[in-house]
Amino acid sequence: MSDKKKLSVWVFVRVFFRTLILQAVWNFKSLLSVGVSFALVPVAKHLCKDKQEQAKMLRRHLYFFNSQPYFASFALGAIARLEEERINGQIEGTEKIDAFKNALIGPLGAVGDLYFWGTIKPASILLGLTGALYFDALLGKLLSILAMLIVFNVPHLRIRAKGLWKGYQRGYEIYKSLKSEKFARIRFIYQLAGAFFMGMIISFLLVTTLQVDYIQSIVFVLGILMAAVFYKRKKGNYLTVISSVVLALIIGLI
Amino acid sequence: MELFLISLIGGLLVLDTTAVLQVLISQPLVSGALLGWLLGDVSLGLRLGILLQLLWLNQLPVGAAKVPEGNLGAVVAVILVFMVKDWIPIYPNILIVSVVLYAMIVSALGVKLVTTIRNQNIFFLDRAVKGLEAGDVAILGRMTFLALLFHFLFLVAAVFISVWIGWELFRFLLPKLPVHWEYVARYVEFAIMGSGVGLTLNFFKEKRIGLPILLGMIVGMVILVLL
Repeated sequence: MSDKKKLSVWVFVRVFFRTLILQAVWNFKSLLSVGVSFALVPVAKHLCKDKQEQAKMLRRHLYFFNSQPYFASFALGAIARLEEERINGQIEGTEKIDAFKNALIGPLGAVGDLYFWGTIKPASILLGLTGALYFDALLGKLLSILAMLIVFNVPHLRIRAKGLWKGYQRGYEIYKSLKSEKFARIRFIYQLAGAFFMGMIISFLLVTTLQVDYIQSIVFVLGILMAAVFYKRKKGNYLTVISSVVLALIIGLI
Repeated sequence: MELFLISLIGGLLVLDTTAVLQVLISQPLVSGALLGWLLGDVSLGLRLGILLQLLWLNQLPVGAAKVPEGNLGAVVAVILVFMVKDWIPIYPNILIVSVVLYAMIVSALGVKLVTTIRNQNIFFLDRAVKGLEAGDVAILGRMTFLALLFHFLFLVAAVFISVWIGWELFRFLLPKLPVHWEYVARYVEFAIMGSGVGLTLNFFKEKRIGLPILLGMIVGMVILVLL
C-alpha cells in the first residue's frame, strides 16, 4: 500500500500556473488539447516512473478537447485523479478516462461560456465603464477600472483553482458539479449588477447629452433603437455601427 | 522607433485576449488607459477606451467561434489617435469617425490573423505529437512557448502595420476633407455610444432584468442631479 502514488498540492500549484497559458496553442485540429497536455506535465512527472511512460500519458491528452478556458480546470483536476487511480491500479486501461474527458466537453463549454463570457465579463466591464463615466476625477475613473479587474478576476482565478481541486476530489463525479444550477446564484447577482450598471450608463449618456444639445440625445437613442432592430434582423455589429454613423452624419447635415 | 516600442506593448496587451492570462487587460477600457498613460494623456486614452468598449462586448468567444478582434482594433485606434491628434487638432469629430471606422476594419482583419495563427498552431501540435511519440516530454513546453512567441510577433506586426497604414491614410485623406465636415460629424460620437449600448443590451433580454435596468437609470439620474 505504501508505494501508492498520491498527487501533492505542489503539483496542483504548478498545474494552476500552466493553465494561465492554456490556450497558447489553440488550433483548429485539436482545439485546446496542447494546453491540456502541457498543463498535465507536472501530473505525469509525479505519477509516471520514466520519460516514456510520461510521454505516453501526455500523448493521449493531445487528442481533441475543448472547454471554456477557466472551466477546463475541472477537467484537469478530474483527469489528474483518474490518472492517479490508473497508475495505482484502481482503473484498468485508459479508454474510460478518454471517454470521460470527451463527455465533459459539452458541460464545460455550456456552463462556462454562459457563466463567464455571458454574465461575469459583461457585468464587470459595465461596472468599470459606469465608474469611468460617472467620476470626474481621473483617480476615480482609474479606481473603477481596478474594481472591474478585481470583480472579474476574483471569480476567474477562484474557478481556475477550485476547479482543479474539486475535479481532483470528485474524479468521475465532477460532472455533478457542472450543472448550471450550481452557478445560478452568483450568475444571478452578476446579471442584476450588470443590468443595474447598464441602466446607469444609459441615464448618464441621456442626461449629459440633454444638458448640451437635445439632438445629441435623439441621436444616442436612435443608435440604441437601430442596434435593437439590426440585432433582431441578425445584421451584425459592423452594419449596426456603420448605419448609426451614417444616420448621425445625415442628421449633422441638417 | 517609438511606434515599434508601443507596438510591442500593444501586442502584449492583445495577447491577453485569448492566449495568456485572460484577465481583461486587453479590453479597450484598460488598454486605452494604459496606452494613454504611456503616450502622455491617460484621459484621452480612457475616453477612446470608453467609446470603443461597448462595440464588441456582445461578441462571445464561444467554442471555436470567430469573433471580431475588437481589442486589436482598439489598441490600433488609440495609438493612431495619439499620433495624429497634434497634427490635425481642428478635426476632433472627424478624427473620431475615422478612427472608429478604421478600428472596425482592423478588428475584421484581425479575424483573419487569428485564423492564420490557429492554423499555424497545427504545426506546433504535430511537432508535439511527434516529440511525445519519441518520448520527449519537454517538447510540450517548447512548442507552447514557441507558439506564444509566434502569436506575439504576429500581433506586434499587426499593430505596427495597421498603425503605419492608418497614419499614412489619415495624413493623406484628412487634409483633403472640407472643413465643414467637422460640423457635420458632430453627432457621430453619440451614435456610436448608442449603438454600443444597444448591442450590449442584448445581454439583458430576460424579463426579470428590466427592473434593475430601470433602477440603475433612476439611481443614475439621482446621482447626476444631486452632484
